[in-house]
Amino acid sequence: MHAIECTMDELAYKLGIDPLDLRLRNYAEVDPSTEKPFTSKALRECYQQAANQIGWSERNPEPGSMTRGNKLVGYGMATGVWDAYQFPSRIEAIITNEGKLKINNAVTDIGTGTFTVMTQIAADELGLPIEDVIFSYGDSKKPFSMFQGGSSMTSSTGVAIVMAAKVLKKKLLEKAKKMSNSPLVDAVEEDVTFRNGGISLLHDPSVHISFQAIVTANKGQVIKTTKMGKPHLLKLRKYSKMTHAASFVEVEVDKDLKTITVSRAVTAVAAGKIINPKTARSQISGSMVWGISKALQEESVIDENLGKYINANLAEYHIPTHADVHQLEVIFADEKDDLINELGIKGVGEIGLVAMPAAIANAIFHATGKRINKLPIHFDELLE
Amino acid sequence: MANTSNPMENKDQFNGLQAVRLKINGEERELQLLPWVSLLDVLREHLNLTGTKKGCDHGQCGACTVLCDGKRILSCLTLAVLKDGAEILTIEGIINGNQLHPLQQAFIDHDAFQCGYCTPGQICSAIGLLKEGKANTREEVQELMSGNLCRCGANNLAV
Repeated sequence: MHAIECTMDELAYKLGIDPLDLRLRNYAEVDPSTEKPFTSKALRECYQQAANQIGWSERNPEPGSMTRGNKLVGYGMATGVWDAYQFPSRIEAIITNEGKLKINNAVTDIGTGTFTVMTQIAADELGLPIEDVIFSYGDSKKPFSMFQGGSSMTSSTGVAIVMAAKVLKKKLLEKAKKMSNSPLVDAVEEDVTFRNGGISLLHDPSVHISFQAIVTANKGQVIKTTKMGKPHLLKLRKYSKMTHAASFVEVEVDKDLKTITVSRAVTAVAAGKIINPKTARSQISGSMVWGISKALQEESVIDENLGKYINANLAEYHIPTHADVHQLEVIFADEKDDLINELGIKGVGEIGLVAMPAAIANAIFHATGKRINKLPIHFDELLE
Repeated sequence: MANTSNPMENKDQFNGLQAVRLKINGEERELQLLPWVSLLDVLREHLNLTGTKKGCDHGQCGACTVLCDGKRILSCLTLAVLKDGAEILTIEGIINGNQLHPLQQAFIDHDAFQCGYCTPGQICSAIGLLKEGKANTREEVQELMSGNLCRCGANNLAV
């Protein structure tokens, strides 16, 4: 991706076409590698919104033409794609004697917001307040989940929760119908809605049976179901399923010392529906920091005589500090995807990283007129 | 063969133990410590105050930052015996009853952490910085908090 996106930039400058325009003129409506349509692709919106935000059209496209005090200023952009993964995940969903919903799944949360979004998804599905959902996780004794990674967790475990909730709702309605003098006795699935911790008639919300009452009528036995959620592979075989992003970056290069600073970066992401804008934003901005790191800092150095890493410590293996991270902006493009899965969601982790290093390298070219085709790019590459 | 037994394995008979008094989170503690034990290990291993994290154990990452007499220090590079009589404040001690410290609340409000491993160090460092009167601009905070690394990239949210 880095090589392609830097070469696209080089091509654009050789042709005298704006790098963004080159991409828009060659915009792929179907996946060129498989000739399959995308389940959704709001990359055009990503380009437009991120370009507007950073002020792309206001820059002088001539390399080396822009300055700010003692700094050369450059703008660069690049595209990112990431596979929209979904893995099987098994959910145990239980309505407890207190009428609360307990979800059991082995998935872990490494700080990505899994606990928060799974609770949200479960609460939405059963029409319960967040505080009445217990998401119990992080233990391999619990029902199966894939590893936390690949930007796949919300699609995998989140969608599995939706599938399990569907079965559980059916079960709850059956139990409710069988209660003595049940006001829902004649109701079918289409007639009811799940809200306020129970089942209501759609056309008459005053007809309401709480989950707690259903469990009580069930002789106090909890009502539970287990369901393995899986992607719809047969249907999805006909499509290319990708998350898309566009990163636009502003760099400053010191005229004398050639030190490089990413002074501003905007990444727009099209990842279907966003379940939690706050935690999703944190994921993308964290990825953008990793992008800065890959472009300018992180490097394993090997002693070729000994075959050992010589910088295996945090003082010599550089990662961005607070002083290296400046203005980062995240945009989520509206993207409706009815094909990908029940929630219309794709992953929001790595996609924030993919376009950043190329956008930074391209911005360094715009600032200095030098194209550096290696990573990380250090100041010494830019010294005359 | 000479007896080469490791004194660490035989602490009771080793006469190198030293009495150290520390006031930790407002509580007086009297400890018998070997002179080479770091303050970080005292907190985590002797006192079970595991809120302070061991990242690199080299003074490179800032995860072990605590406040010593109000100043931020790296507890991994501090020998506990050298701080006899000092007042130590750790992440466990900054809460006021059930009321989170304003910085803790701010970190939550701004989603300023992901995995949370660096967070106790970030917050102690920030409290120290405020006490030093040097947290006046964003640039100052960025520069003077840069001893606290964050691998999740929650940097700009934290700052």
